[in-house]
Amino acid sequence: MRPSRIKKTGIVGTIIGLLIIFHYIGWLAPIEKAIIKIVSPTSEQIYSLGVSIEERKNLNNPDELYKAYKELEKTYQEAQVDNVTQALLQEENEELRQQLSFFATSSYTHIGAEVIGRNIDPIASTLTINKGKEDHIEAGQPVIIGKGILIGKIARANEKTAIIRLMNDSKSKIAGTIRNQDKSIGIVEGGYGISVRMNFIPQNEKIDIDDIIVTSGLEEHVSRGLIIGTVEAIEKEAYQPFQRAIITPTVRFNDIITVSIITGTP
Amino acid sequence: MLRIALKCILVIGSIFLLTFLQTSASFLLPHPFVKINIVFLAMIFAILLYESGNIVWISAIAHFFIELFASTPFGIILFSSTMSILAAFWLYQTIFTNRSWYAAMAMTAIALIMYRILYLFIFIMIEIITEATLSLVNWGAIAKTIFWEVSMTTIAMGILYVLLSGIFKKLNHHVIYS
Repeated sequence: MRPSRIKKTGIVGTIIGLLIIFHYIGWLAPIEKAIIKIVSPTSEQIYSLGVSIEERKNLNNPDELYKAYKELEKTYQEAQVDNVTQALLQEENEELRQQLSFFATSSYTHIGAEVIGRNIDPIASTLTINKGKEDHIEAGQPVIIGKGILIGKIARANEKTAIIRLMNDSKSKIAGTIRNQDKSIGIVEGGYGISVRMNFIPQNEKIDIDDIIVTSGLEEHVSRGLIIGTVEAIEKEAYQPFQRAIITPTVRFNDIITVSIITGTP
Repeated sequence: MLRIALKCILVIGSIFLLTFLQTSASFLLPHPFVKINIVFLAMIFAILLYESGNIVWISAIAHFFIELFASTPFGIILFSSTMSILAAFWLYQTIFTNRSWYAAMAMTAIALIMYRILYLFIFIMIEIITEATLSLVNWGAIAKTIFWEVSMTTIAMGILYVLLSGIFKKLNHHVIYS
């Protein structure tokens, strides 16, 4: 390589390095805010239009079929949430009987946000929302839709926007528990396309198809009882300490327009 | 003066358009076409069309915009992409000097592979420094996605080059110019 190319590489690398340093110091914040302020509204409109186009793409009779489909989807999700809430309430009731000073907490502080973009980096499965640090959003907070269906966690929070890492992202890890007799716990991981997998489930614990998976509450920020999905298949190997469940998420990640971020559990 | 101003407006407008496409519209494409890296495709095509080193700086600005909406720590995409586009420009100047669709595809594939190698290297370094558990990352899924990204973007470049070589005479190897 000729010396001038090495020099040019050095110059380019130094300028990029300085840009990165200035970002972390905060000197670029006004420029970044301005860019986000310009991009966000238009992105939001384009994204909403894109989602509605995608939703109608595979329907033969768009209007009636679409309405019926959306109503059924909503009913199914609400029914799943109600089932889990009932089971959790029963468990909590039993615990209360055994303790003298236990107070159940079931209300979360949360904030709503709108999705303005998706999958910025082709190797990630993410959503961009129009709320950020200014709205008390922090990395690691769970993100839900509906009445408690988990879609992922906040990966990064900027001042006015935030990035949600969806649960089917290859770097997503969520502590989950199965609503079975053994209350099996494991780690729900993404990176398998549409489905996710729950790994590190003890081999001796019994799990069935259609068992519901919820968050276990064993990780920071993520409270217990948020619905993840249902067991679609089970993978077991002899002489292995753990088995694996393939999970179909309750939510379709393609048509999310609004989300709620759980910012605290009082 | 007016011409320069108009050029600047056009460049900035194009960068915003690319950002909109990458953040809000690229997901509409079916799998595996959704993996096409639109910004990279545009930058490589700009190198082929304009043959100017300024494309490296335009790429840096475009990926700076993309960084604001990415989930990775700030700097990974910006540094990897800028270095890869710089290398792609040098590849064009020294190796892929013939104006052909297969040279364009080769350049795209090599530049994207370099981009992802740099990206993963910096990502692994950050994971090591922050003492994260590398074994928990789904490397198989990442490798598969990178394969689709490189393949689809390269094919898209080939098709784009063939289609646009009829419009832009610069891309046509039959046309001789100085």
